[in-house]
Amino acid sequence: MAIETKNLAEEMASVSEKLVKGLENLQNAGEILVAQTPKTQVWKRDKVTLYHYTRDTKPTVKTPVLISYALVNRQDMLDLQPDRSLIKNLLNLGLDVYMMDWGYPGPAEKYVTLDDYINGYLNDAVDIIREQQGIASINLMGICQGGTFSAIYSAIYPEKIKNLITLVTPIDFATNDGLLFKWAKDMDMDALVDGYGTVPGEFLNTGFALLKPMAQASKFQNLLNIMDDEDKLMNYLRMEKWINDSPNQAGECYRQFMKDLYQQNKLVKGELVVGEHKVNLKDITMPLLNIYATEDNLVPPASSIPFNDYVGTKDKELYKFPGGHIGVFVGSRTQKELGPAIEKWLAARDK
Amino acid sequence: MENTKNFFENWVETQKSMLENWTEKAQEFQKNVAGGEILTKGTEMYQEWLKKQQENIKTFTGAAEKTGEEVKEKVEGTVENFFDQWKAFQEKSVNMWTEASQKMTGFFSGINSHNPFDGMTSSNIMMDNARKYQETWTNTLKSMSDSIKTPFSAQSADMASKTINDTLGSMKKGYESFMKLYELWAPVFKAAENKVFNSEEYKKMMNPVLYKELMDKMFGFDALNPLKNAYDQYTKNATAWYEKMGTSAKDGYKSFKDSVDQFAARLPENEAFFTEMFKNINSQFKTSVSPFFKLMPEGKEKEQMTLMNDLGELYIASANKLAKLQYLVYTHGAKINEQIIEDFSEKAQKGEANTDFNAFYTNWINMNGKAFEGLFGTDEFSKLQGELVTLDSKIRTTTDKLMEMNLSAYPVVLKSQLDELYKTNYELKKQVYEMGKQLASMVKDTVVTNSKPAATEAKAAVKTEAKVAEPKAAAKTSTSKK
Repeated sequence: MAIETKNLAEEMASVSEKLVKGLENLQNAGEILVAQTPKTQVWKRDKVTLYHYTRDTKPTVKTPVLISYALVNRQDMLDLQPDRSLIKNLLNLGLDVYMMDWGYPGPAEKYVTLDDYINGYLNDAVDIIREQQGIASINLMGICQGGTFSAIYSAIYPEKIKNLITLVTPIDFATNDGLLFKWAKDMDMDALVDGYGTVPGEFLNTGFALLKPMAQASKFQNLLNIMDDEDKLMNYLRMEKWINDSPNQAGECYRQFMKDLYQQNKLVKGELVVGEHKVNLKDITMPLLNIYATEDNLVPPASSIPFNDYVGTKDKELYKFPGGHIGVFVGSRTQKELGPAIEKWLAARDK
Repeated sequence: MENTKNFFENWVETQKSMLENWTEKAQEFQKNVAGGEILTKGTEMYQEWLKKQQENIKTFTGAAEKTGEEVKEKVEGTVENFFDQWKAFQEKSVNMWTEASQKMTGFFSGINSHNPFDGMTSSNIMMDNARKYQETWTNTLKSMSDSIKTPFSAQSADMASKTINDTLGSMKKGYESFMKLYELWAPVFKAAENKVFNSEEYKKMMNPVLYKELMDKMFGFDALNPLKNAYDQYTKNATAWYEKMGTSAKDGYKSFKDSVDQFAARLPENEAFFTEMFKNINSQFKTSVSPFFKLMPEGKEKEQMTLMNDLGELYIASANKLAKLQYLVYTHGAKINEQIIEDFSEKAQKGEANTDFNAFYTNWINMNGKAFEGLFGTDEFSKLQGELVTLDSKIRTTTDKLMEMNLSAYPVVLKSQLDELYKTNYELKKQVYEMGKQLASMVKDTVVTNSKPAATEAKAAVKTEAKVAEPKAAAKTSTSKK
C-alpha cells in the first residue's frame, strides 16, 4: 500500500481526539488506592513499621512469614490491587503474613547504617513476632534488596529463621549482565553519598528509566489505547503510583550496600561485615527456596542463581519463574503459580 | 516552570546587588586604608553594608512571594476552560492540517508531478528545497504542539493526585516525542507519497535540530540537566562580578564569555571540539581570575572566591562530560535513524512501508530501544555516566559550602549545623536503643530467675558451686542483684 499523508494527518487528529477523551477519564479517575488488604500495626521504631495482615480464619501453615521488601520502592507492589495481590493470595492459601515497612528516610536518616537495618530493625521485628507467637523461629521471605537483607540476616541469626525464601534477590554482584550492576561499578559512591546525604529516590528512578530507554515512548502509545477503558486506566495508574513512590535511601546504608556488595562483592567472598558480625553464607542452614525471574533486567538471573551454591543447607530449591522483575508480582500467572508454590513449599516444612 | 525561572532570576539579581554592595564597600575600604581612617570608618561601613545586604535579601524574598502569588492567579480560572480550550484546539488543528496539506501539495504540484529532485544538479538547491519542505511542516506542527501545551498545563494545575499529575506529565512528554518524530519524518512521508524513493534524499530532509530535540525529549536531557541551568546561573554571577572588576577583568571576561557563547551555539558538534573548547574556557577563566586572587587579602572573601572558582571548574568539567554523553547519544541515535531511513526507503519503493504512523512509531521504538540498550551497556557510556554523577555530587558539596559562607552572617540554621544535629540525634537514639535492649534483657532474666522453683534454684546453686560458675549464670546473678 502507498503512503498517503492525508491518512497520516487523520491519524494524528485521531490521536488528539483519543487524548481528549482519555484526559476526561483521567480527570474523573478519583483516588488511586493501593495496598488495600487489611492489616494492623504491631510495632514501630523510628520510621520503620511492622504490620500483621488480618486473617478471618486460623492459618493452615502455623509458622508465620515475615516479608522484607527492598528499601528501593515500596512493598505495595505485592498488594497493588485486589485481583493482583500476592499478599491476598498468600492469606487465602492459609499463610500468616507480617510485613516490614521501611518507611521514607528523610535528611535525618542519612546516618542510618546497614547494621541498623539488619541487626536493629529487622532483628527487632523478628523478635517481636517470635515473642508474640511464642515460637523460636519464623519464616522469612525477602524480595529484591530485601532478599539480600534476609540472606544476611539468616546467616547471622540462623536460629531465628525456620525457612528462608528469596525472590529476585541479588547475591552474586560480580556479574555485569544487568546494566545497574555495570554502572554501579563505575560510580564514586563516597562522592555520591557525601553530595546527597540521603540519596533521593528520583536519582535511582532516573537510572531505572535508562534500563529501558524507550519505555516512556511505548508507555504513551499503550496509554492512548487504554485511556477510554476505566478498569485498564486504573490498573495503569496504580502501577504508575507505585513506580513514582520511590523512597530516599539512608546515606550510610546506601554507601555500604553499594560499595561492599555491588562494587566489591563481599557477600559471596565471605568478607562482608555488618555491625559486629562477619557474614558467612554457609551459616544459612535452614531450608532455602530461591525464586528468580528469567527476564529480570534489574536483578539478572546470574546474580540470583548462584545463591544456592554458597549456602550451608542441603534443603535448597531453585525456582525459575518466567517474566521480568515486576511481572513476578503482578502478572496473572503469579496468582495461579507463585503463591501456591510458596505455600506448598512452606507447608511441607512446617513441622 | 515560569515560577522557578522567576525565582532564580530574582536570586541572580540579589546576588548581583549583594556583589555590587560588597565591591562598593571594598573600594571605600581601600580608600580609607590609604587615608588612614580605617578605625573610625570601619564600624560605620560594616553597618551600612549589613543594612544594604538585608535590604537586598528582603527585596528578593518579597519578589519570590510575589512570584508565588502570580502563579496562583494564573492557575485559578484556567481549569474550567480546559475543555473549551480543547475544542478550540481541535478546530484549529483540523484547519492547520488542511492548510499544511495544501501547502505541501502545492509544493509538489509546482514541480509538475515529476520527481522533485530530478534535474537538481547542485546539492545546494536540493538542500534548499529539503529545508523548505522541513520549514513548512515544522511551522505547522510547532503551532499544533504549542496549542496542545496550554490545556496540558491548565489540566496539570488542577489535578490533585500526584499520580495523575505524573501521568499527565508523562503523557505530555510522550505526545511531544510522538509529534516530534512525526515532524521529523513528515517531509519523507510526503516525498514517498510523491514517489520519491531515495534514501540519500530522505536523509537530507531530516532536520538535525529537530532530531536533537527529539533525542532530548526521549532521554529527558532537558529535565536531567539541572547542571545546564546552574552553569547559566554561574555565568550570570561571574558576569556581575567581572563587570565590577574594571577594564582588565572585563577583557578577560569577554574572552571567557565568548567561549561560553560559542559552546552554547555549537552544542553538539564533535567530541574533539568540546575537549578543546573546555580546555580553553578553563584556562581563560583561570588567567582572568588569578590576578584578582593575588590582590585579595587572606580571609573569608578570598575563600569564597576560591570556592567559586572551584565550582566554576566543576561546572565546566561537568558540562564537558555531559556534552560528550549527549554527543554519544545523538550520534548513536543518528546512525539508527539512518538505518530506519534506508529500511523505509526500500519498503516504500516496494509499497511495503507502514502506512499508519502508529505502526511506524512502534517499529522506531523497537529499533531505538535495542540500539540504546546496547550503547548504555558499553564501558564508554558507563564510565562517562559515572564521571558525571561524581562531578554532580562534587558540585552539590561545593555549592553547599559556598551557600553556607553566604549565609553565615544571617541568623539561619546552616545545613552543616543541621547535619551535626542529625548525627548527635542518631547517636543518642542508638545509645538509648542499646540501653533499652540491655534493660529489657535484664528484666527478662530477672523474671526467669525469680520464677524458678526454690528446689530447682537450690539444685542449680549446688551445681554451680560444684562446677565453676558459668559466665552467663554469673551475669544473671549480678543482674538480679541490681
